[in-house]
Formats: sequence, C-alpha cells, structure tokens
Amino acid sequence: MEFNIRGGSWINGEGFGILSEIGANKSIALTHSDPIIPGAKELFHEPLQRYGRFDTFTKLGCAAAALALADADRGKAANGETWGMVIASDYEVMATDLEYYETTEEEGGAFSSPNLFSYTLPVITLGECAVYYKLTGPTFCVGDNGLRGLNALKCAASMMAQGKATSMIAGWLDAPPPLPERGQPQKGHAGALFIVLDLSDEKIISLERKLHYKNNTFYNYQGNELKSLLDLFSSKEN
Amino acid sequence: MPALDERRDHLKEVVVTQMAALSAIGDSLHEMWEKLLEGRSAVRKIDRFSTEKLEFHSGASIPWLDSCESDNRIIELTRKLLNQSIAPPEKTYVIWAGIKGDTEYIEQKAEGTIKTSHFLASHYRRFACRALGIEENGMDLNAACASSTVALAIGAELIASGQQSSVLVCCADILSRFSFTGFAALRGLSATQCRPFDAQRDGLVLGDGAAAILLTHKETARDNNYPLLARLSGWGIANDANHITGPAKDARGLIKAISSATDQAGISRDQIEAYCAHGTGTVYNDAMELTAVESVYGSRKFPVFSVKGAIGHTLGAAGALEAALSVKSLAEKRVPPTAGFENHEERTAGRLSSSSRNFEGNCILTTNSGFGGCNAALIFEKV
Repeated sequence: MEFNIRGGSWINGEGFGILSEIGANKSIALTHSDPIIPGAKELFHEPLQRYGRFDTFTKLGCAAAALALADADRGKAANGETWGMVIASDYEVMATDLEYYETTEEEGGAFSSPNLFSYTLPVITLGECAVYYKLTGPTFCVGDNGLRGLNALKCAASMMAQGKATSMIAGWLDAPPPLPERGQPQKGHAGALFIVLDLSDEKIISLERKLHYKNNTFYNYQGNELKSLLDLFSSKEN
Repeated sequence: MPALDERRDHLKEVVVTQMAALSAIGDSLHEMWEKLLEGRSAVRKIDRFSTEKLEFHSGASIPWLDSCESDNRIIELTRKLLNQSIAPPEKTYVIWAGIKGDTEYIEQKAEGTIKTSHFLASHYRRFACRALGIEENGMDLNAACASSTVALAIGAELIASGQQSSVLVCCADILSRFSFTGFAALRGLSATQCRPFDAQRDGLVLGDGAAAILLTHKETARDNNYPLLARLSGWGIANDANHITGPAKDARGLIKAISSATDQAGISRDQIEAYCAHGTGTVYNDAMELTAVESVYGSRKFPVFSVKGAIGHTLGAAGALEAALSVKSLAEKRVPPTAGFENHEERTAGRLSSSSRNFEGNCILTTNSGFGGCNAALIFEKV
C-alpha cells in the first residue's frame, strides 16, 4: 500500500519549520531544551481560543499540527472528508500532571484547578485540534518507545487502510518534566515531528513524498526502511 | 481505496478467546457478572484518601487495594488480573490501555517519597508481558475513557489485516486522589449516588478496575483449542470535533462511530439487540447517548444498560471491562440491571431498567466516549 506525505512540521529547542523547507543536507535533530513554540498569530488564520492558556504539551501539539497542515496547503476538513490524528509520546503530559497536582495540595483538594486537570490527558491536544480543524475521524495517543512517531504512523496508516479516515495527521510529541524522571539519566527529548498523510490518487510533487507500507514496515521511495519519523526530516540521501 | 465490501472479504475473522476482569464488585469476571445480575453496587464512602474538604465522598474502590501496602496499586491490580486464567500464545502482541498510570508516582513525588518505578504506560505493558511469560512487545494506547475500547479496535484491525495472529488488550486504572480531585473540580462527580440514565442523575463515581481480553484469528483459536467466546466483527472510532471535555449534544461522534462499526460488521442496524452504554451518570453524557440511540435506531426499543452505577467509572479500563461483560451478556442472552436507575424519562422507557432482562438476537453493541471528543464503538456477534 502506498501513502502520500502531504506536508510536515518540526519543532525543537532550536526553532521550528516545515518539511518542504528543509534545505539540502539539512537534518532536524532532537533536543533536550525547551521547544521554541510559535505564537498564535504565526499559526492560525482564525483565533484558536485558549491557545495562550494551553499547557506546553497541548500548545506544542496544536502548533505542530498547524504548521504541518499549512505545509500540506490545507485548512479545515470539508464535509465528506474524515481527518484523524494519532500522536506518539513517551512522557505524555507528565509535566502538566505535576503542575496540576500542586493545586490539589491546599485545603484538602478544595482548590484543585479544573482547567489544569483538563490538560492532564494527552488526548486533549487532539481534542483541541479536532475542534479547530474539524477532525471527525479517529484520534488517540500511543506510546512512542523511542521510535519517534513510527507507532503513530503505523496506526494512522492502518486507520486509512481500513477506510476509517481519508487523511491523518501523525507524529511524535513530547514535553517531559524539567528534571529527569526516576531511572532516567537525563531529561527526555522535547519537541514535535508531524506529517500529514493521505491515500488519494491526486498527483503529488515528488517521489520523496511517497511512503510504501508492506509487512508492517514503511519504506521510502528508495526502498529504505523507515526507522523513525526523523528519517523523513533529513534531506541527506541514504 | 477498495470498497468496504471488498475490504471486508479480505479481512480475517477476529474472535474473543480469553477474558479476565476485576473491579470493586468482584475479583473475577464471573463474580462481577453474578453480582451485577443481582443488582448490587460496590459504591461506598471512600477511605483510601481524605475527601473531608470536598463535596463528594463516594467511589467504587476495591477493599483489598485500599489496605494494600504496595507502592503501586496498578501493578497489584494487574498482577491479580493476570493470575486469572489468561494464557496467550508466546508471540502475542500486547496493547496496554490506561489513562493515568502515573498518578501514584505524581502523588509520591509531591510527598517527596518516590517508591514506585512504574509510571509510564510502557512500564505496565512490560510488567504484563513478564507476568505472562511472553515476549515483550506491543504498544501503549491512551484515548481517555475510550482507551481500552480503541485498543480493542486497533487489536482487531491488526488481526483482521493479518499483521498479528493474537493480540492481548490489557488495562487497569485506579481510584486515585489525583483523578478524584480533578473530577470534583470539574463538578463531574455525583454528590449522592451514581444513577446512569436516571431522570435525577447528577454525576459519576470513580472506581478501580482492570481487564484483559485476548483476541485471535479464528484459525489461531482453533489451532490452540481456545473457546470461541464471540466474534468482534465491527469497530468504529470518531471524534465529536465539538468540545474538549463535554460531549456533542447532537451525538455526532458517537453516531459516526456506531455507524462505522455497523458498516464494518456488515449487519443491519436492526440486528443490534442489546447495548452496553458508556452511561457515566452525568447529565450530558447520558443525554448524548440517548440521542445517539434515537438517531441510529429510531423508535425501536431494545435493552440498554450501564454498569457504572455498580462498579464506578474505571476510566481507561472501562471499555475492556464493559466489552468483557458484553460478551458475557451475549452468551447468556440477558443484560444486567442498571444499578442506580429508578426514574424514567420519556426516551428511556422500554430501554433502561433496574431489572435484568433477556434479549433475542446475536449482536451486542458497546461504546465509550471520552475527553478530547473521542468515541469508540464495538460490535460483538455470537460465533
């Protein structure tokens, strides 16, 4: 089965950008520092309410989705289109969980923050994107296990293959807590790598934007196995 | 893209072959089922943590888990769950589903006394694989309160498309102070009693729960002499695209998920003869589900039930627990009473009941909906 990559985006501690603007011999790296997340005015034609109040994870996810969809030259899903979204993450919203739990510690929890609690689920990011971009297809989050979005890509492909969506946003998203967690040598990588996929027969720009899927494995146009979404964010020829 | 009929012809048959579950009402699926049929409820005053300063005080916690000295209740719950006769093939692909595996870690971290080393979903999945003595593989999934429902859909897809021959969906969530204070802050909890679909309903109660369901190819089941408990013939996942915490009033996401599952199963809507609803007991969720039932099935009446008045809302484990109970219901051709339900509104008449009821037919629907606008539907058929 063959999928088309319509667009993509990246955000890390050094900046942010889109797949189609990655120059020759440039590779996007993962970073541990706080991601540089663009402001709402750079991303959304219509105001995305609450963007300023989002936790880092949600803001990062919505920004990466906005950039990827812009790269794919897409606005919102039209009637008859079913778009979905799957993200892979290791730490999910642990930083927000910690922040929320601090609000429960006064007066026996009587002043717990309802707003922060809402953001203690990683799927809230998908919910925000769903409301804004009219994503009415499957939306869920999977564990990344260091594969940088590959699990999300497989699930997205599966959803399209079984006819549950006409297009999917898929990628890696992590915003780990500022300090390393127990048993971890250092703070995890923070950032996002998203792509927009579909199955349409419509002509696409280049072969590099084709992904072949066979026996549970993705291959690029040269027949090389995709081991991480990062492989797509490198212009180096393998 | 191939047409649906053509795709369906190429899909392998997915069957349920093993199930295990536990909750506050029983330490096994059998015990849960018997007590549900008796109309019992495990909801009681919480003593796992203090609720003194809050307006809400009830939950469905497992008594032995309250007094358990372990530093990680999800691990204890999973250990006890997998001690029930679950024996998957060695190469089984495991999907762990849950929404808040890190609550005890977060609570311990706040107290400055971290003891548990399990806090990511992948830690629990690996623990489950080791406990079962199978290869450590698989994935972890979070779709809020529809987590294990979506996990069953993904597992079924992996089998139907021939990528896996057996998939174990394993899930556990607990009644934690973290979640309780959050739902209290959102005013989603019941101050009285959880009464799904009751005209006087006023909110949900949280509960402990865990479930494991083994899905296999029909051929794999036959090769291993597994019982064919039911066929998982249709699944659908859809987003409301309406609000991040509240359901869509017009039930658009749930309707789409049910329609997608029905189309995939290749059955007519009239073949659904029983429905295990999400039925949280909140005003808006239950109203949304009744809207979906009316929209999809019109005025046709068949038994609809919720188990959350008896076992509480077990969050990420709810979907698989309810799927297991749906399979049990299909086998016995009867649905348990909806604990807490007493007062009808017009559209619950002929659908909801505080008594157990028999039904005819070979298909049962179960659905769950969650924060983020996610809805998932599964259809089980008698083999």
